[in-house]
Amino acid sequence: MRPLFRRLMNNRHRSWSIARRLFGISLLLILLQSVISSVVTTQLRRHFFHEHLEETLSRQIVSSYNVISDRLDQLSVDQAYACCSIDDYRSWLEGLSFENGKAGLIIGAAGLQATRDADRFYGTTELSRYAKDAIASSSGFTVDEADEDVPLAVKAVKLPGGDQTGFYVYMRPVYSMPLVRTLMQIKLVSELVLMLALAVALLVGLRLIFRPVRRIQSDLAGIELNRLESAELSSRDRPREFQPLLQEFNGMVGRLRRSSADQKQFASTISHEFRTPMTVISGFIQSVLNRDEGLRVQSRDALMLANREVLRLNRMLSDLLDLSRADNNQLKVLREPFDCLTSFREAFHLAQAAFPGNTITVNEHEFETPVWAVGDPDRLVQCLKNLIGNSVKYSELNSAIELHFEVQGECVLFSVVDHGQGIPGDQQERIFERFQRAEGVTLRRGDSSSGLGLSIVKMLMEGMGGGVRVESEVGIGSRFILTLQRSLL
Amino acid sequence: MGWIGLWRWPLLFAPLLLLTSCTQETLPGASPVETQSIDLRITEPPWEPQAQMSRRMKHLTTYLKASTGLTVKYIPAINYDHSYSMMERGHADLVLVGVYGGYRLLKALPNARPLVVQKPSYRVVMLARRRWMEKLDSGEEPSLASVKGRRVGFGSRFSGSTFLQPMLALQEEGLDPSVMAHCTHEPVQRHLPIQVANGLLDFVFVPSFNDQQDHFVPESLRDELAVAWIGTPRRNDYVVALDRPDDSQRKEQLRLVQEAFLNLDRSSLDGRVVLNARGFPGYELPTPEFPQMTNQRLESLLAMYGGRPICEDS
Repeated sequence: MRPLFRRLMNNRHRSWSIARRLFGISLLLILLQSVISSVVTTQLRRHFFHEHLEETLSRQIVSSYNVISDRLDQLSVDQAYACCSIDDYRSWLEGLSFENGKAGLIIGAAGLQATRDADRFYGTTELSRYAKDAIASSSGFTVDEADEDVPLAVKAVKLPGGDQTGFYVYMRPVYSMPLVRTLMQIKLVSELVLMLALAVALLVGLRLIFRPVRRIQSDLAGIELNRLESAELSSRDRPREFQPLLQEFNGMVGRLRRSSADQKQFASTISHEFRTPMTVISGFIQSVLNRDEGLRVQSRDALMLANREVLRLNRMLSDLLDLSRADNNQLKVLREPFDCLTSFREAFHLAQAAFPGNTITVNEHEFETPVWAVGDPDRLVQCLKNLIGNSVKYSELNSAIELHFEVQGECVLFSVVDHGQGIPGDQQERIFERFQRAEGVTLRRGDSSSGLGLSIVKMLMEGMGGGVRVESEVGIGSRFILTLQRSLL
Repeated sequence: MGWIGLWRWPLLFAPLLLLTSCTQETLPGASPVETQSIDLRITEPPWEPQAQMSRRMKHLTTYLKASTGLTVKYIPAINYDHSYSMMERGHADLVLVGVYGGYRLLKALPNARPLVVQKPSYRVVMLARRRWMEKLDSGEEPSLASVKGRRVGFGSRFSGSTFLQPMLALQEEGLDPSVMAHCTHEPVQRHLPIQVANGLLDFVFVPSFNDQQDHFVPESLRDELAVAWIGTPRRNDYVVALDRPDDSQRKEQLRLVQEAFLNLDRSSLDGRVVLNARGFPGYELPTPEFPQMTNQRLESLLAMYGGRPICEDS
């Protein structure tokens, strides 16, 4: 009981679909309409068929009834007073005969007398039952449907006089009933087919109706945060119902774009304006450190720390400036043939100098001749430096870092391998987004991360026509792979 | 003491009246219980299907009971002759008749007298197929003369409204019945229109009792049938009562019944139901013109035919 309740409660919060509801309700309405139509048709058929039969019989009975009433009209007074015996009934029916199962009879105080040949089709008990049923009905008419294929229509008319004269009853089989039934079956089948066709048409119709919604959904999915200038959705050829929604959306995009432009401008200005004083500060610190040999140890350490922080701040400003330029389409990334092996070696040497505590190994000696790739040599070095810096930052102190250079067909691969914490599988995509860091991955004490490094690597590599990806296992380590197109020059 | 108070006196002697009626002859099928409570018996020639006759009589007897306090029992008749003979043999005290029945009873029974007569509203109507009417040449009007060489249907050979009245009309137009190619009788007048619709007859004569000339035509046949000719407004129906000169109680009963018939109007529900069922505007007292003068005309018509006229081939 409890799991069912929980499931129900969970279902309450499930998203629902307008299309499904519309389809369900429409289908229900179609079904309801079909059922009501069938019931009404059946009732109408029964009513009108009975009415038609009654009218037909009322007409048909007249000629034979007139024969009998004319005979009664000619009875002498004495005959009228002596009336009636079964012989009287017989004499009144004299000469009346019917074909094809039709029959007439008189039923009254003297008994029952049927027309000639009636006994070929009906027994006396049957005739008596049919007659009594018709007499008992308010209109004097019944349809006996004991035989479903050929029901019997029966009409009873009181003969002039009291109980002694009785009723004249006329009956005829309804041979057209199977045809009527077949027609009803055809109608039922056609109604089912129609219902099915309607359901399919409804399904197709709904797909057509919701096509604009799907188009908008697809357009919205294609919007990139850093390309808000092309994020506005055109209201041309869109349904009228969506126009206000699109207008509102485009208005919102405009506001976002303005806000984003302001932020970028702010970041660009800040980065640019901060760099000059930072360079000056760093220059003076370097100068003091280099020229003044009489500095106390504590002062030297303090100045060195300050210098490192200034350099870190400078790097961050460079990153921000790059992003800002990229957003404003002002970032210049070359796509030209260059010796990528030289850049790879440069990055290696820079890393060795920057992280002397770490053992950084490289396989570049396997390659004797220059390897040409398409891209920007400085940006490649920047990317490799960035990755090596990350590897050092997220690994144990003095942990080994491996650099691999590889040529695979038309591609050149640069790998940075560490033996650090590793990145969970579900985080490996989002670490390349701006200001995103893998959850559960910790930095060493004193280290910090802006969350921009990998997004800049991705941006630069894609700018060079290459790419970046990661292969990682938690607790084992990570391998970041940069790819560039090989140049055949 | 007003007249209302006066007519209440016989009610005090109701048990005595009932005892008296016990001595009267009963018809086969009538229960002794019913006979004991009967004050008067009424009959009518079966000119309509019995079910409709019984229904209409039920309205009338209910009305008479309510307005006079008298129990009037309807005795169904097998045919016209039977209904007349009931009066002659004392099995009925009142009879609703047409001109022929009234003529015959008034002539045969000295104690019979017309109690009330129908207000002039009867007209004899000749029906034909609408298609036949539409095929007539322009300027050609259907008339009584159209029956020449045609198949014509009348009511019972004992009917005034649908046989003798049309015969009188034909006589007035100088037409002899022999001009018709075929002539037939249909006692149930309601069945006459359907015979034309079924193509068995070309013309039929039916009565009309009000302004709606085709009220006798069933709704389902209105599209197929049309009025080809219509007679002048006359009277046809009246009530004949059997009087007993020495019987003051009978006299009083008949007076009450007469008054009830004369008071019939459409202002009350009972009256409306009775008049609607018969199609009459109402009843009035007999006039020197009707039925006396009409009977004289019938007398001469019957004399001309040497008795009751008959269709040639019926």
